Amino acid sequence: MPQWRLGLSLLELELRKSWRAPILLMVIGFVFLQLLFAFSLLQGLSDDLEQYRKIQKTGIPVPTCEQLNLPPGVICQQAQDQFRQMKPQIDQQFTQTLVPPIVARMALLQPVQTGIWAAGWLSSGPGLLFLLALGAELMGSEWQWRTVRTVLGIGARRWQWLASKVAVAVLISWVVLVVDWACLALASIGFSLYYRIEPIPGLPVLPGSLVIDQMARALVVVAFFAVAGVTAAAFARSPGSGLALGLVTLMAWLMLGRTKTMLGALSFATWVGQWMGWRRGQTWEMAHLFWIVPRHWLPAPAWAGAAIVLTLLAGVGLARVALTRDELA
Amino acid sequence: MIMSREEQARFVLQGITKRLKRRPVLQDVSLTLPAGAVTVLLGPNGSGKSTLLRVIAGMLQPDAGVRRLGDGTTLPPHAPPPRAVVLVEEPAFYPTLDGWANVRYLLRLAALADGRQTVDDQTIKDALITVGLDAVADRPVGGYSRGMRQRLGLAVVLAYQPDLVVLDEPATGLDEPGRTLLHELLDRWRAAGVAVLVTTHEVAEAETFADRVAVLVRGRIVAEGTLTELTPPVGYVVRVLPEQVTTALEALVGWPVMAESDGLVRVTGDGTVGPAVHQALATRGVFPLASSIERQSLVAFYREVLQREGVV
Repeated sequence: MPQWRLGLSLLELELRKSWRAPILLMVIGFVFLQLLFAFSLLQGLSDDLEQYRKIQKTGIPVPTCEQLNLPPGVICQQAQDQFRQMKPQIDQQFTQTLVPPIVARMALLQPVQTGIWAAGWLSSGPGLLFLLALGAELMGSEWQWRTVRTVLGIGARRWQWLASKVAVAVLISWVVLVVDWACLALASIGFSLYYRIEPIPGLPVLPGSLVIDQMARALVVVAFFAVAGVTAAAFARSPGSGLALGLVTLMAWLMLGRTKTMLGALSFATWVGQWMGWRRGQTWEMAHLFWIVPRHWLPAPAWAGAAIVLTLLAGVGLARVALTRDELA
Repeated sequence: MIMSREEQARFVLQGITKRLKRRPVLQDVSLTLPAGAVTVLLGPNGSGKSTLLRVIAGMLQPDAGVRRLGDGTTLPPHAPPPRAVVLVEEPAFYPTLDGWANVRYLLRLAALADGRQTVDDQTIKDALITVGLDAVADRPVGGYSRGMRQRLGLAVVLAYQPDLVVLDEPATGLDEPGRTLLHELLDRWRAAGVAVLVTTHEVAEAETFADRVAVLVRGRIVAEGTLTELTPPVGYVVRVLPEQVTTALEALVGWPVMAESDGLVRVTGDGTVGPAVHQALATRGVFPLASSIERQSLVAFYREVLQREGVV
C-alpha cells in the first residue's frame, strides 16, 4: 500500500474514532444554540422593519416638548427648530444605524444567505469555544484512555500521529461549518413561514457572493481554531486541562484584542476580524460581541496568513515538546 | 559456530540512568536482550520496571547510557526501536473502535512510521483467530474485559511480527486458556528469533517460560543470567521402580536422601553427585528409570535476592 493510501486509511480510522457520544453531543449542542440565537435575533425584526418603513416615508417626527423634557415655550420651540434644521442628517444617521442589523437579520430568512451566519458564528467567540473543546476532546482523550502509550509503544512517529489528529480536527471543523449552514438553511424556511415578513422596496440586501466569501474565509478560521484546541490538549495532556488552557489563552488574547494599542494588533481576534472583513457596526458579524478591529497596518490577508502559519508552527512545536517531556507516559 | 550473547543480541541497554522528580529511578542499568530468547524482568513494586520499559520504547529519555540495536547502531534518545512492540502496563485501546479496527489503526501507524508494507487484513484476521477474539472482533473495545484487552495486545504483536517484543505483566487478567496461549506465543516468538522481554510478578509461572532472568531492585540490576546460571543445583533426583525404593535407600545410606511417592528418590547436594549416586545404586542392582539435577526454584532464588537486598 503506498504511503498516501496508508495516510488516507489512517485518516478514515481517525474519523471513525471521532464518531463518539461526547463529540456528537458537542456538535448537536452547538447547532442547537445557534438556532436559538438565530430565533432570538428575529424576535424584534418586525418592529425594526416597521420603524424603518416610517422613517423612509416621513422621517423621524419632530419630538414634542415632553419628549425633549422641556417646558412648552421659547426654549422648546428653539430646540424643535434646531431639530428641524438637522433633520436630514438625523434621518440619514438613524437609517444607517438601523439598516445593517435589519439587513443582516433578513439573511436568516434566506436559506443560502444563512451561510453568512454559520461562518460568522463559527469564526468568532462561540465557534472558538466549541472548537477548542472539540480539539481538546479529540487530542486529550489519548491521555484519558492512555492510548498514547500503545501508540508510541508500537513505534509510531509522534509527528505523523499528531498530524493525523490535526487533520481530523480540521476536517471535523469544516463538516460542522457545513452542517451548521445546512441546519440554519432548513430553519430559515421555518422562520420565514413563521414571521411572514414582506420584503421592503429600497431595503438593501447582502450580495450573494458574500456567502461564498465568508464560508471560504471561515474554512481557514475554523481550521485554525481546531488546531489551537488540539495543541492546547497536547500540551496539557487531558481534555479538561486542554480546554482550560485554551480558554485561558483565549481570554488573554481577547483582552489583547480589545486594546487599541499595538498589542491589540497582535491578537488573533484582530487577525480573524481582518481576515473575515468584519468592521465595527456590522451586526451580521458575531464579532461585535468580541472583536474590535483596528483597520490599519498590514493588509488583512498578510496578517491572517502570518497568524495561521506562526500558530501552526508554534502548535506543532509545543505539541512535540509536550510529547517528548519525560512525564509523558 | 557458536555466537556470543552480544553477537546474538537484538537490543542492548548500556549504563542507563534515569531520575524522575530528582529521584533516581534507574541506576546504571545494562541489559542485553538476545534474539530467540525470553528474558524475564523481575522486581518488587517501584523498582523501576515500567520506567525501564519506557526507556526501551523511547518514551523516556535516559539521563545517561545508551540503547543499541544488535548491529551496534545507537538509537537516538526518543526514537522507538525499529520493528518493536512495547506494551507498557495493561494495553490500552480506543474504546469506541472495535477490536479489528484497533489493530488495524495501530498497524497503519506503525507501517507509516517504518515505511514498510502494511499488514494485510488476512494477517490481522489470523492474529485475532489465534488469540481467540475473532468472534468479538467487531465489538467496541470499550466492552472488552481486562483479559480480552490483553489478548488484543497479543494480537497486535502477532500481526505486526516484530523483532523485539516487550510485555508488561502480560498474564494479568488472563484466564487459564489465555495463559496457555501466552506460553505458546512465547514459544513461537522464541523459535522465530524474536527477542522478548517480559515483566511479571508471577515468578513461579515465569520459570516455565524464561530463558534469561534479570532482577531489578531500587533501579539496579542485581542479578542477571540464564535460568541455569542463576539457580544452582540443590540435589539429584532419580526415579526407580516403586518396589526398588527400599533397596535404593539402603544403597544410599549415609547420603542426605529422601524418598518421595511414585518411586522418586531425592539426594540433596550439588550437581556433581549424579555419577556417585548412579554408581551406588548400581552396586545394589538398581538402575534408575530417569534422573535429573534438581535446581533451586526461581521463586526461592528471587526471595533470596530480595532478602540479600533488604527488600523483604
